[in-house]
Amino acid sequence: MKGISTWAAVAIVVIVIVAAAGIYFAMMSSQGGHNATTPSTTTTTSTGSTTSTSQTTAPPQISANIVAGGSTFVNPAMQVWIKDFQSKYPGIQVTYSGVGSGAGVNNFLQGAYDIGATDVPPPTNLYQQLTQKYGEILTIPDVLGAVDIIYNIPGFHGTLNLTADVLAKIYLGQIQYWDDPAIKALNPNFNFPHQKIIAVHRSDGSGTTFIFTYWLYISTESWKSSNVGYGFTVNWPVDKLGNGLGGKGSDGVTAYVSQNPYSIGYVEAQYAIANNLTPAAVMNPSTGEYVIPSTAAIETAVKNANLTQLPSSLTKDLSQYLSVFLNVKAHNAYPIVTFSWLVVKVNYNDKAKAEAIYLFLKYMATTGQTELPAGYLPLPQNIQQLVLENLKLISYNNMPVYTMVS
Amino acid sequence: MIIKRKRERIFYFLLIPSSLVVLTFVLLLSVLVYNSIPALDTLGLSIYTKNVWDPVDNQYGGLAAIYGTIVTGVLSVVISAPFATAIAVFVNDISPKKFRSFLINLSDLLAAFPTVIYGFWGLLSLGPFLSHTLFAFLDSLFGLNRITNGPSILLASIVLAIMITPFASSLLREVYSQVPRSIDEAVYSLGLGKWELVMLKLSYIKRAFLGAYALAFGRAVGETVAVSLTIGNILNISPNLLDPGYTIPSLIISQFGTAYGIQYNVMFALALFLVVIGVAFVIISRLILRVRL
Repeated sequence: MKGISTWAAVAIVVIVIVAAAGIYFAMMSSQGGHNATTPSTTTTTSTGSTTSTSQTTAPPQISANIVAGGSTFVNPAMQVWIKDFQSKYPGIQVTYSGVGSGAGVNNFLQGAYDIGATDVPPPTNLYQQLTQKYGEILTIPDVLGAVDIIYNIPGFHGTLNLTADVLAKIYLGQIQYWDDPAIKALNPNFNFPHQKIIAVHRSDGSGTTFIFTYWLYISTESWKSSNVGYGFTVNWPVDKLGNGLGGKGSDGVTAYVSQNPYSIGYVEAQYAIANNLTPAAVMNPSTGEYVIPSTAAIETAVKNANLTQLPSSLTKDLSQYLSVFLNVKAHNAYPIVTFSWLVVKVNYNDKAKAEAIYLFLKYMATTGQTELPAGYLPLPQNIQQLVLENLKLISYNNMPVYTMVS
Repeated sequence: MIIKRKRERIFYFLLIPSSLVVLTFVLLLSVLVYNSIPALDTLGLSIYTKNVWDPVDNQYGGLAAIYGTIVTGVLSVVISAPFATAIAVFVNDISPKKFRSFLINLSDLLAAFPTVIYGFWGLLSLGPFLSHTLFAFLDSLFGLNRITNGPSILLASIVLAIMITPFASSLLREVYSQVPRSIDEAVYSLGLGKWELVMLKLSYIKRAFLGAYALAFGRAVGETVAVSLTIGNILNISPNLLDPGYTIPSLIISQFGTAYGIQYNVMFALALFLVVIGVAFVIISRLILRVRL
C-alpha cells in the first residue's frame, strides 16, 4: 500500500511540474521572449572539400539555427534553397514555415523568427515598431512577383481586358454586373450576360492584397477617393452588398473563383502559373497597353523600373518605395509587379547566428537565384548587387561579419 | 482501519488531476479576459455592435461575425436534431441487429472525419449541388437572391449540421438504449404500437437532448475550417441565408496571423463573446426544457 501511495504522489508531482513548465513556456513565448539559440546537435567534421575546386578555404564550421517564416509565396523556393544551402553548410539548421506575410513579420517582431518573409515591406507603423525593438533592420528582396487577375465567365474565350479603374469599381461595388458599359467598352467582342460579379478577395491578411489595393490606390481616382485605402486586409465595400467572397490563401481564392461562375479574383503570379490559371490582361496606365502577366512582361517591368528611386540602403522604410515597380513605363510591361522581401536584424549578439544569417542571405541572393523552382523569376543583376552590398551591414556586436566568413 | 484510511488518501490524491479541468477553464478564461481588455478599453462595445473590419483605420466591429455564428449555430442544431433523433431511434428500436453495429460504426467514423474534409466536400461537391437544387428551389419559392454557386450561410449551416449529427446521435443513441426494458414491455402489454413506444421513450430522454446539443452546438459555433471554406468569409449581415457571411471562428482563423496591435486584442474580445454565446445557448435550452416539463 505504501508503494502505491508513493507512486501516486510521484505521478502527481510529475504532472504538476509538466503543467507548470508548460504554462511558463507558454507565457514566455506569448511575451515575445526570444528563443534561446540551441546549438545544433549535428556536428560537422571537417573532411575538407573534395569536390569544390573554386573554394579556397574549407567550409566554415558554423553551428547555428535559423528560424524563418512568413510569406506562402516564397515557401516553395525557400524549401529548395534550404535544402541546397544545408548541403553546403551542414552545421546551419534553417527552418521555414509558410504562415503568411503578416504572421511572418509579426512573429519576427515577437522574436520568434530570425527571418520574417513578407510580400510587402513592413508598413511604416510596423517598421517603426521593428526599429524601436531591434535598432536597424534590413528589408531584402528575395524573389520577383506579380499579381494576376483571374476570372470565371462561362462561355468567354480569349483574353479579358481590364483597367485599374474597372477593377477598383468592381471591388468598390460600383460596377455590379458583367454587362456594365465600362466592361463592355474594354471587351467589345463578347456579349456579357446580365449577371452579378462576385468579387473574390483574400480573407486572411495578405501581401497580395496589399500590393493589389496599393496599385488600385495609386492608379485610380475612384479607389483613392473611397477611403478604403490599402493594407494586408481592407474593409471591402463590395462585401457589404453581399457580392463578395473571401478565400483563405491563394488556393482559397482560386477555389472560390473556379467554383463560382461570374466571379473575379486576384492571386500571386507564381501561383497562377503553377496552376495553369488564365489571367486577364491588365492595362498599364503608363503606356495604355493591355498586358498579359507573362514571364517576359513581368521581367520587362523590372528591367525598366527606375531603380534610382530606390534608397541605396535597405535599412530604410521600404514601404515608401512600393510604387517603383508598379505601372512601369515600357512596352509590354505588366503593371502590378512586386518583390517578396525578407526582414532581418542588422546587429546580433550571437556571433554564429550573425554569420549563419549572412551566409544564408548571401546564398539566397546569388546561387539561390539560379536554383528557383518553375514559375519564379530571379532578381535582376542590379538588385542582386544592391542586396549583396547591404548584407555587409550584418554584424556581431557592431562588427561586420562578412569579413569573418569566406 | 489504517489500511482503509490509506486507501482513501490515495483515492483523494488521484482526484487532484480532475481539478485541472477547472484550472484549465479558469486559465483560459482569464487569458481571454486579460487580452480583451485593451480592445474593449479603446473601442468599447462597438466591437460587438458595429460591422466593420478595417485594419487600415484601426476600426473593428464583429457584428457580422456574431450574427453569422449565432445563425449557423442555431440553424445547424435545428437541421441536425430530427436526423440525430431518427438515427438514435432507428439504431435502437427498428434496425435489424446485424445492420445496427454497421450503422453505429459508420456514424462513429463520420464523427471522426477531420473537419477540413467536410469543408472541401461542402465547397466542391455539396455547394454546387445544393445551389442547383435546394437553393434554386428556395430562390424560386421565396425570391431569395442567389449570387454564389454554393458558399453561403445556409451551406455552412448544412455542412455543420452534417458534421454534428453523428456526434449528437451517438450520445442520444446511448441514452436511448438506457431506457429500462420494462417500458417496452409495459407499452406492448397495453397493446400500443411502435410509434407510442418511441414517443414515450423520447420523452424520457428529453434531458439528454440538452446534453447532446450543448456539446454539438459548441462544436458547431467553434468550427473553423469547414465553415471558413463554405461560408464565404465576408462581413455581410443579411437575412437572406443564401448570401455569404462570416463567423467568429472563421474570422479569427483568417485574421489572427496578421493581427498586431489592437486587432490582436479584438480577436480575444470576439473569442470571449463565443464563450458568452455558448453559455447563453445552455441557459436558453435549459429554460425551454423547464417550460415544457
